[in-house]
Amino acid sequence: MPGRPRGGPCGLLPSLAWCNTATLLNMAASLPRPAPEPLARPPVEADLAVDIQGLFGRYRRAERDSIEDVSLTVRKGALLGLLGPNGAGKTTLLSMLCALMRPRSGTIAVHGLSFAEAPDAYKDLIGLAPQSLALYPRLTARENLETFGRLSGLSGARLRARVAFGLEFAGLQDLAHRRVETYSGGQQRRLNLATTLLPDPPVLVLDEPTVGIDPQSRHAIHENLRALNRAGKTIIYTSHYLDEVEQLCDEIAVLDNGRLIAQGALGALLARFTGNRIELRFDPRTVEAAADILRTVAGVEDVAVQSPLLTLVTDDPYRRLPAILKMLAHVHIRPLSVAVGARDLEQAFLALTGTQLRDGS
Amino acid sequence: MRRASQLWAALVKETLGLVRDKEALLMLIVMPAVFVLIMSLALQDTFRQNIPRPMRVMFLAGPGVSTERLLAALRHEHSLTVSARITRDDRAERARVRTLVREGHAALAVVLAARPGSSRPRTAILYANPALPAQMRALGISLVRRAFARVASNRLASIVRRFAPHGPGVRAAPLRLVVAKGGLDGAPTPTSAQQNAPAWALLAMFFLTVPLSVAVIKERQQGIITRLRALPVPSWVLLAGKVLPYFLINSVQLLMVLGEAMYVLPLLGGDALTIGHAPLALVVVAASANLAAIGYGLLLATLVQSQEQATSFGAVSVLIMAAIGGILVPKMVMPAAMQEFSAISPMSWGLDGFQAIFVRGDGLTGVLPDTLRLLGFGAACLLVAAVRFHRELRPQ
Repeated sequence: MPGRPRGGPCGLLPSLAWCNTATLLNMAASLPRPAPEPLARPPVEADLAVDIQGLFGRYRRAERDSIEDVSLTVRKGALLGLLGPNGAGKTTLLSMLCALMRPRSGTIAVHGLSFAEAPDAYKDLIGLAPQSLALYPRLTARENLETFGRLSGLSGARLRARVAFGLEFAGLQDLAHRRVETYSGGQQRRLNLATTLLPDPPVLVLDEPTVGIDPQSRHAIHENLRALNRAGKTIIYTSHYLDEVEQLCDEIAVLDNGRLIAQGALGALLARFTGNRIELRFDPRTVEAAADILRTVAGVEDVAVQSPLLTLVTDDPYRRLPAILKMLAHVHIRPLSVAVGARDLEQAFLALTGTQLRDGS
Repeated sequence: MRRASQLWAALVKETLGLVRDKEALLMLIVMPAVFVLIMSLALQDTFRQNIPRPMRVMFLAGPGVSTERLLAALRHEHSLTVSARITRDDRAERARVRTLVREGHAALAVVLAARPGSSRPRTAILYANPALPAQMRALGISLVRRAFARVASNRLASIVRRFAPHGPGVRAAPLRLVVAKGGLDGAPTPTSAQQNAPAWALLAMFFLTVPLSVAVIKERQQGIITRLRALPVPSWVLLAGKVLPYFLINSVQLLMVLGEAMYVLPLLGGDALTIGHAPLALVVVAASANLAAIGYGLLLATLVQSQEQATSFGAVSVLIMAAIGGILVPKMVMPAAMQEFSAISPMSWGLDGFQAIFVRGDGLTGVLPDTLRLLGFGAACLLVAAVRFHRELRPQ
C-alpha cells in the first residue's frame, strides 16, 4: 500500500500538546512547511484500474443530471474513498461504473475495457457489494455463496475453492449451514462482502459495506479489506463513516451536487482544503480573552470559538503562527495545544461540502 | 457450460427459497386439497342427477275416498316421503303441522281442509319450509301438483267409463317421455369431484401469482436484483430459473388434488373423481394451465412495485378470474349471459379443458381449443414479463 503523509494521531502535522509558550514559539518557528503534494499524479493508462472521463448521468424522468462532467481515475491497487453528502451522486457514479446505469455521455474504462466492448468481460472485472444486504435470507451462507458463485460464472473445483474462501473471509465456516436470516447484522455484512469477492474481480466497489454493524465486525472487514488491497485489489469504498475512510483509504475523491470537487491523496487533500486553519485548545476560562486578542492579529481572517477550542482562519498559518503565539504569551495566555490544518477528514469534508443539511438520497 | 451452471444456480436458489417458504407452500398445496374435500362434499348433491333424498311431506286430511286417492297419488311419487295424519278434528293438528314445517322437520305439508258439515275435502293448502332452496321448493310443489292432477285425471276417466262403458275409454297418454341421461342435449354433466378438483387446483395454480411476485419484489427490495444486474448473467437465465420450480410445484399440487379426489374423497362419502382415458390430453391441459398461471404471475411481478401491491392485486385479480371462470361458482348455476362471459377467464379455459377429458372423455383433439387459448395467454404474459425483466436488468 503506498505510504501517505501522517503526523500525529489525527494524521496531520504534529499536534503540540502540553508545551509551554517558549517551546511552542521555538517549535512554531522551526515547523517544516509541508511540501505541496500533487493531488493526483499524472495517470498512465496501463496503470489505471478505472478511467472515467467527462461523465454525465441522469435518471429517467429527472430534470437534471445526477452526475455532471465527472472525470476520475483510480490507479490499480488503490484504495479510494469516495465521499459525498446524501444526494451527491455517489451511488449514481457507482451504478454507471458497475454498468447498472447507462451514462448520458462520457466514457468509463475498467482495466482498459469498456462495457460496450465486452459486457460480460467488463462485469467480470468488477465486484459490487451493494449498500443493502443482497443475500437470499432463506438460503444458508454456503448456498448463497454457491448461488452467486455459479451466477458469476464459476463452477467445479474453482467454485468450491472460492466458496471455501468466502466462508473463511466472512468467518462463517462454523455457521455455513445455517440460514442467513438467522445471522446477526455483522455476519450478514461480512457474507455480503464475501459474496462480492467470489469471482475474484480485480476491482471491488463497496457501497457502505459497514453500515449498521458492531465495531468488531467493522474491524474484521477493515482488516480483510487491507489484506485484499495489499494483495493488489483496487477498492472503491464509499461510507459516511469518515473516520474509517480516513483509516482505510490512501486516496479520497469527493463528490457534491454531481460534480467531483476534489480528488487526491488524503494528506494533500487535508492540507489543500483546510490548510489555512489553526486550531488552539485553551483552558475554558481563557478562551474568550484569547479570541478577543487574536482577532486583532494581522492576517487572521476569522476566529471561531467553540470552547475550549478556538479556530483561526489565516492567509498563511505557518507565517502567522509565531506572531499569534507571541501575542498570547504577551498577555500570559497559554494554549494547551496547537494544530495546523484540519483535525480530521470530517473537518475537511465539511469544509469542502459545507454544513448545510442534505436530505437527498 | 457457463449458462448451464448459471441456470442450475437460478433453479436451485428459487426451489430452495420456495420450499422453505412454509406459508407459500401451505397456500399452494394444502389450500386446494382442503377446498376440494370441503366443496366436493358440500356440493355433491347439487351435481347429482337424481334428488338426493326424498323430500319429506306431511299430509293432513279428514277421512274419505278423496283423501285416500290423494294420499295414494302422493305416495306414488318416489321423490316424496309422505307421513299422513287422517283425522276429523284437524284444527290443533293444522297448527302443529305448520310449526313442524317451519322448523324444518318436513319440507312441505299438504292440508286438506274439511268442508263444514261434510267429510269431503274442499280446499288444499300447501305449506313449504321457508328455508327450502327455491329449486327444491319448486320441485316439491310440482310433484304435489302432479299427484293432484293424477287424482283428477283418474276421476275423469272413471266418469267417462261410467257414461260410455263400451266406448274407447281413456287410456294412458299414447306418448311416453324419456329424459335423456345427463341432460337435455345428451351430454353428460360433471360430478361434484369433476367440478371441484380441477377448479380448486386451477385456483391454486393461479394463486402462485402471489408468492411468485412477492419473491421478485423481495429480490428487488433486498438489493439482490442490483447484485444480479452487476453479474454477467442474462435475464433469460434468471427468468427460466423462476419458471421451472413453480411449474414443478404446480404439477405436484395438481397431482395431489387429483389423487385426493380419486382416492380420499370416496372414503368420506363423496363421489370418486373419474379422469377419463386420455392421460396425454390431461398432461397437455395441465401443462398449458400451469404455464398460463406462471406467465400471469411473472407478468404481475414485473408490473407491481411493492409486496402490498403484489399480494392485494394478485389475490384480487385471481379471485375475479376464478369467480368469472366458474371456479368459485359452477358455470351450470350461472345465467346464460354470465356463462358466455365466463369464457374470457383463463381459468374457465382450464376448467373446460379438464372437464372435456373427465366428463366427455375427450382426447387431445377435444381439448385443443382450450389448450391453445391457455398457451397463447401464457406465452403473451411470459413475453411481456421477459421484456420488462430484461429492461430492468440491463443498464438503465
